[in-house]
Amino acid sequence: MSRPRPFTASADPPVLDVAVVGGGPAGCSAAIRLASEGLDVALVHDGSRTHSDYDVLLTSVSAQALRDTPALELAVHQAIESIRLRLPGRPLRTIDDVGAFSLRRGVLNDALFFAAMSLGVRFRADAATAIERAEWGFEIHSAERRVPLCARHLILAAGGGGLGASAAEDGARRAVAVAARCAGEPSPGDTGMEMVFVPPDPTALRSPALSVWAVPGPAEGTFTVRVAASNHDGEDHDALLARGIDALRTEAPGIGALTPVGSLAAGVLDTGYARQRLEVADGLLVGDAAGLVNPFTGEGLSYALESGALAAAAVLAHRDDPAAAQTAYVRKLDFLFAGSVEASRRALRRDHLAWRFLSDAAESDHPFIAKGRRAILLPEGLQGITDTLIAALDPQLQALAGPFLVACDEVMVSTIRDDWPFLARMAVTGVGTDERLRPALLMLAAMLASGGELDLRLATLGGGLELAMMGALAFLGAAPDVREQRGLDWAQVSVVVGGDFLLGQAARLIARFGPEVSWSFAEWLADLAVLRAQRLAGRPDVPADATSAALYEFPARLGAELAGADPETVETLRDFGSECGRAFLHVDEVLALTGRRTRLDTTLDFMGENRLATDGLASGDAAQAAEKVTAARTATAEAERRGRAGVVQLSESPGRELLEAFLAGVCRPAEV
Amino acid sequence: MNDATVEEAGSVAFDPAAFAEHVSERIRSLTRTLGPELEAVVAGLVDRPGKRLRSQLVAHCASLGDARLDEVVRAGAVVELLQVASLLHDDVVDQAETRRFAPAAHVAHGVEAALLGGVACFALAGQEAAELGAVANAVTSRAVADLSRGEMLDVERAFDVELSAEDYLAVVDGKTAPLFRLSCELGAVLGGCEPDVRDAVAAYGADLGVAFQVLDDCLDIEAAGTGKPAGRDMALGLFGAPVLCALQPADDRELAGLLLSSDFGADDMRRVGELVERHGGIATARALAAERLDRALDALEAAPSGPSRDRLAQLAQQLRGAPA
Repeated sequence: MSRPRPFTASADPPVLDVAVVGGGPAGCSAAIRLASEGLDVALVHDGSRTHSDYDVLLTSVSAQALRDTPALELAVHQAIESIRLRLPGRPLRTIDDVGAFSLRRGVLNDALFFAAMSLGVRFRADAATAIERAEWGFEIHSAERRVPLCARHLILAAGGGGLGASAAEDGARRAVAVAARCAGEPSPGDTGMEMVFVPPDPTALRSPALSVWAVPGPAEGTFTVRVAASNHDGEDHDALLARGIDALRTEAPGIGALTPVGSLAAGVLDTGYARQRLEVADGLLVGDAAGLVNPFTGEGLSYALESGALAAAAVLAHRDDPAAAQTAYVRKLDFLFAGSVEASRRALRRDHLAWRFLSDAAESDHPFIAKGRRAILLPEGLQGITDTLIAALDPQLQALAGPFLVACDEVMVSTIRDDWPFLARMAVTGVGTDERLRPALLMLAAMLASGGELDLRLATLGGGLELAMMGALAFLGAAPDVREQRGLDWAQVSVVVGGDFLLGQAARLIARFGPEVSWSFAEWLADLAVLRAQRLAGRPDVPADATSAALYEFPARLGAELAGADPETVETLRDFGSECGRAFLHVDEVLALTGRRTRLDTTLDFMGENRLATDGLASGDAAQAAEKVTAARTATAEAERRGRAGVVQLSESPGRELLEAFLAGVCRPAEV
Repeated sequence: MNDATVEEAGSVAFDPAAFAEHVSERIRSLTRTLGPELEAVVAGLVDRPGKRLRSQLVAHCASLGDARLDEVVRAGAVVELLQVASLLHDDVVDQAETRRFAPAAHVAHGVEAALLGGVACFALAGQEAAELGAVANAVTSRAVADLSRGEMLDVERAFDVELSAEDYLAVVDGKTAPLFRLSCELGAVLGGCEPDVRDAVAAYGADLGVAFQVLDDCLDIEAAGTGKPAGRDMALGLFGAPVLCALQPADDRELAGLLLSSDFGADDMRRVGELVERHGGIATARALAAERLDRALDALEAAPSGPSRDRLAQLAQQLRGAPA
């Protein structure tokens, strides 16, 4: 590790590339990325260390961000594979395949700090007191020195209420979080964490809500209990912690009576992200300073690491132009986060409804609901844009498909995020962090395979197509019927209103940018509804995979129609899409039967009860289960064989290669 | 009837009963393609239509210009199918047990089947609109997108007792106005009307729709028999115009408390009615509706005068005079 470089005294102050104010995870993660690209970076931090005796949860996104951080070495941590979500009076809901881990807060902070130092980041142990804009960039004044620090770019990472973090506007939601390490009695080998939610009063927008975590830590027999209270009434921190421990004792007695063994850390959570705050700030606001905190879980660490990385990327893209860097950063951040964390009256109402959704839909395995739940609780998948399917392609195809899919994401998110941010998050979230089977990719492949050329409007139609597929998903399978409290049943409402909204926006995008395929779109939707209704009614001539075939034939057909292909080619591609759909269902059957996370994010029972799966799949004993796995694998292989047989009729082209890669991607999990 | 033209006064097109029958026939011929499962789901709403106000608007606006009857009938089917789709879905959202004095589709056929029926009607309307040409397709898809957004805004504001009447009207602009607006616009498009006439009837339709909803809210709180169980929206926290108008100036703690109480019952409903009446909520709401009707009539001035415009004006006046 090299020593921090000292500043040289000079009449003409040297202008650094970047000054980072605040040495927490957000600031360090930005500094590391900048320094590793050779920029001259100074980190201004007052040297004080916050209490760091507790363990923090690092979600899969944070974990990925840390793996991607240069020069970072992390010591002992505890893997967290599942979340047991508990709401009073509602059934337990386990969220699997979480891919998170926990780590001592101090260990994380130190590791990030030392990584920054090892890359040559200058360190100024001082408290920044004021910022002035100058011709060359920014002057950062501090408590201990008379000469200000001069830097072209400024990143403000001093936490909520820190320097540069403008006060949250009126209507912003202030919340409080406390955390302390506690001794408990974990079950041996348990890699799950507890999450208890006490939702607000259904009829009162501003009533308090509580979210409590118990995260097992790397140290044997310990949990960190973390309590976040929204619409907080000023209750004392110890009392808040005690209330959280009480809630855990009632809802999750399995982890034993918890007794605090560490010191209590407390802080105000500013969940008041607003684009305007970032636009008027002197410098780039990252992490808590930008109000980036999940209003449900109180989680801010993944946002801190992610926004730090985004700020660094913006600076690197606009090294000589701080204003351009700020514009690019704000735009990107707003694209990713707007609505998920946001201060406004509408946001308050939306949060309230998201709470209701979590509560009302607690017992549902409906795919649309399961995906929505993950989107609210786990900020995963934003970096999953480069998924395994794309990564496996040869570089030329990657260069074609990668930017196209990013453009589709842009269209989807910008179409729906202002109105329904969680849907936007759902739209760009894959299964796990690395796989998204993109219908738009199938459309692109079919279009190229039938001789079409990539043009700009295709990404818009791809975005519309994916919104439509997501909307269609809402209407497959029944949401539960719960009517225990006064008011709307949010399990039901979110499915109906969410599905309608997605289909409505899709119809508009398609009519506007591809009016010649509007009719096909509507015909497809009608066919899909008819087939599903027939399956639901138990018609013997409609097998389970007929609906999934109908779901996937459309992207392929659409691509061919947009390319102006002859009817025979359209039919070939339509059949190919159908086989992809059949394979998709049978792969999900294999995943469900072998206890793995399905792509629909649902369970064997739900698939059985709702006739989504092959008849008899969810019943029977273990011996039969093995036969069923074999049957589902065989059905997958047959669909794959038929799909391949169809595609070889087409002439060789990058499009054909993409089609083959898509089908292989659909089928891959069945092999393992 | 393929080449028939919707003529001015006296023609068969202006016999509302005959036109409604053409529209019903067209809708039935479309829903027959859905097969027995879904046809059964939508049959109730198709066979027991409401007042068919929206398809009437299509016909009147079409006859401001020169339109083919078959196309006007199909446009009528578009707006009525969209209405059926939204009723099927709304009844699930609102947990309504009955619709037009019969069990709601989700009660009779199950929730998922009812929702699929709605999706299918939405899709049929989309096919029909696409066949009516590029402009018809564009205006229909825009209305559908607006409508789905309005549906969301409407549920999102549940239990918001601080919602101002203006903000509520913006919600109504999203949830009720788009289909009225579309009905008028589609008519004008098929009638080949000039852009300024199209804009005028679109504005008329939007204001008419808002007024319609506000007056419907008034009827709801007056508990007049509309086939809709009184107080349903109230129990769901979806407060209508009279309630919000009463809340605003009065700052009545009792009213707000009742509206938010977790065990809202029939007695509370009666008391809410009394308080809303006392604070002049219904009168204020009716005045808001009247303002919108005036605006609708003003907008019509830009349409060519004649019997069709008179009938549109008459529709607005009838709404104004609807029994309290």
